[in-house]
Amino acid sequence: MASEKEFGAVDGSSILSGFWNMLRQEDRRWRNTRRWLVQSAVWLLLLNGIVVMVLYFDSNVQVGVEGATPGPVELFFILMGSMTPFGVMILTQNDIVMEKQSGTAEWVLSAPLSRESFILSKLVADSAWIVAVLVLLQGAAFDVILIAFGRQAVPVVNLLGGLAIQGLHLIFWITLSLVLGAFFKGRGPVLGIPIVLLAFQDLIAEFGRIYVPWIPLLLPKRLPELAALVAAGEPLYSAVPLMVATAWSIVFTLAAIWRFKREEF
Amino acid sequence: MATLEKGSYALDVREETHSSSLAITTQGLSKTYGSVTALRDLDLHVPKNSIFGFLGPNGAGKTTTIKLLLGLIKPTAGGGTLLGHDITMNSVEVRRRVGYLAQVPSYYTHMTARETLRFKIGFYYSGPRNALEERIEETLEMVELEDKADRPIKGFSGGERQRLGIAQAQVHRPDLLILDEPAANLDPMGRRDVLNIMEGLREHSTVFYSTHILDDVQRVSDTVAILNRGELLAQAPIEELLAGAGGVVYHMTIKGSHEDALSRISGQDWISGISVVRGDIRTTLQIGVTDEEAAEDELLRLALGEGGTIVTEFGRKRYELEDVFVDIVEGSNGGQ
Repeated sequence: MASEKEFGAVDGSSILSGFWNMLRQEDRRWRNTRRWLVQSAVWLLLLNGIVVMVLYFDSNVQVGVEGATPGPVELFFILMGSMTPFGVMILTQNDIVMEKQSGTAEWVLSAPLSRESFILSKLVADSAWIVAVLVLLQGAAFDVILIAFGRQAVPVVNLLGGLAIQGLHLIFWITLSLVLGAFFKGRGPVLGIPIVLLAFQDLIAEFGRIYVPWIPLLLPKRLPELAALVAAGEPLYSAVPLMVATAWSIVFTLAAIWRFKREEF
Repeated sequence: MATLEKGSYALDVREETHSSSLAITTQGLSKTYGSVTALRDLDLHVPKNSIFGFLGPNGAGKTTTIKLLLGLIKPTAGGGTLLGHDITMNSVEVRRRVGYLAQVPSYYTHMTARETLRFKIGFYYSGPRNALEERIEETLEMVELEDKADRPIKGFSGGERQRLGIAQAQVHRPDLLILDEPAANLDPMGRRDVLNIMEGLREHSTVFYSTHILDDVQRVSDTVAILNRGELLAQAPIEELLAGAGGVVYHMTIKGSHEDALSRISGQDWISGISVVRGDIRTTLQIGVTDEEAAEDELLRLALGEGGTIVTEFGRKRYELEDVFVDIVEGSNGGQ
C-alpha cells in the first residue's frame, strides 16, 4: 500500500494553492474533449474561408490596408476582430456559471484550492487555448493562404505584432466573460452583456463622446484596426487602446476574484 | 464530564477533553440568510477517530453546518476549528486535511473515475507518479469501481457515483472525512455498500456524516448529535442516547402468574413506575427505577422470589434511535 511518506506534498501555503492542478484540469477540458480541434476547424472555415473566397473571386485586392477596397490583411484582421469575440463569448459563457450551477465549483473548492486559483486557472487556460486556436493558428493559416494565392506573405514580425494585439483584444472579452460569470448566477447576462457591448460599441462611442469625449477610448473597438495596421507594417498611431484594454482586463480579473471570494456555495 | 441539560437529553461537554483529541469544535457557530436563521449557536465537539452521526430532519441545518466547516459559506457569528485549524482564517489548510462528499456529488463529466481521482489527489500530492497511481488503484478497489475506472462518469449509476464520491473524498487519506447524506438516494444494496466502506475507514480517519436515516446511524455511529431548526438538541455517545433519558427502565416477561412478583417488586422505594401488558400466557412488565444499582442487584431476585415465578426475559430496556430522535425533535417542536 502506498503511504503518505512516499508522496511529495503540494505546497499550498500561498493564495495560489491548487493553481497548477486546476490549470491542468482546464487544459484537459480543451485537449481531451477535442474542443480545440473543433474550434480550429470552425474558425479556419469562418475566417480564412472568407479570405480564400475573396482572394479567389477578386484578384484585384491589395496586400496592404490602403486603397478603395480593403486589402486581405485589413480584411483578415477586421473579420477576426468582429467575429472571434462572439466565439469567446460562446466558449467561456459556462466557465463559472455552469460550475456554480452544477456543483463542481463546490466540489473543487472543498479541496485545498484557493478561489484566486479557480479564477486564474480558467483565465490562463482559456487565454492560452483561445489565442492559440482563434488567433495564432488562423494567422499562420492566413500567411499560408497568401503564399498559395501567389501574394506576398506578411512578414513574421509584423504578423505576430498584429496577432498579439488581436490576442489582447480577445483576452479583454475573456476577462469580461469571467467577471460576469462571477457576478451573475445565470448565463443570460454572461452572454447578453458582451453581445450588446460588441454590437453597439460604435453607437455607444458616438453618443458617449457627446458627453464624455474620451468614452471611445474605453472601448476595445479600435484594437482590430490597430492589429491590421501593425501587420501591414504601418506605424502604431496610438498605444492608448492597448493600455486601456490591458487595464480593463486586469480590472475585470481582480473584480472576478473579489466577487468569487464572496460567493457562497 | 459535565453535562448541560437541554430538554431531557444531555449535551455532552467534555471539559477534560483537550482540543487535541477533538477533530471538530465549534463555538456559537451561526448562519442567517436575511431573516432566516439556518444555524444558531452551534457548539459541536467531535472526537477524533469516531464515526459521528449528525442527525436532523430535512432543513435542520446539517448541510449548512458542513459548508461552514469547509469554508464554502461564511458564518454570521461564532467560529470553530477542524483538526486545530481555524475554519474561517485558515480554510485552505482545513481543506488540506479533510475529504468531503457532497449531498449531490458533482464531477467533471468529461473525466473517467480514474482521471477524477488523479485530479483530486493532485491537490494534495505531486508524486511520484507510480505511488500515486498505486494509491488510486487501491482506492478504486476499495469502492469496487476498478472495472469501471476508465469509463466516463456520465454513464455511472447513482450508487456508482456515490462510491466514486467516497473514493475521491478519501483518496488522499484525510484525517477527517465529512460526508453529507452519504447513503441518501441509494437502494438498500447501495446503502449497505456505503456503510461498509464507512466502517472500514474508522481505523484511519474521523468520519463526520449527516443523515436522516436512523437505521444507518444506529448501525455505524459511535457518537451522535441531533439538530432541528438550526439548533443543537442533543450530543452524546450513541449508547448513552439509546439508554434513554427519561430514567432507567427494565423489561421483564413472566410466564404464568405474575401477581406475586408484581407485589414484591412494587413495594420497593426505588421503583418509579410499572406498566403491565397481559398476554394469554405471558405478561410483560416495564419497570421504571430510580436506583439503577439496586435494580441490578435485586430486581430479578425479587421477581423470582422463593420460586414458582418463571421469568423468561429480563433486561434493561434499550431504546431504538428512532424513539429517541422523535422524542427529541418533537419535544423541540413543542409536540407538533
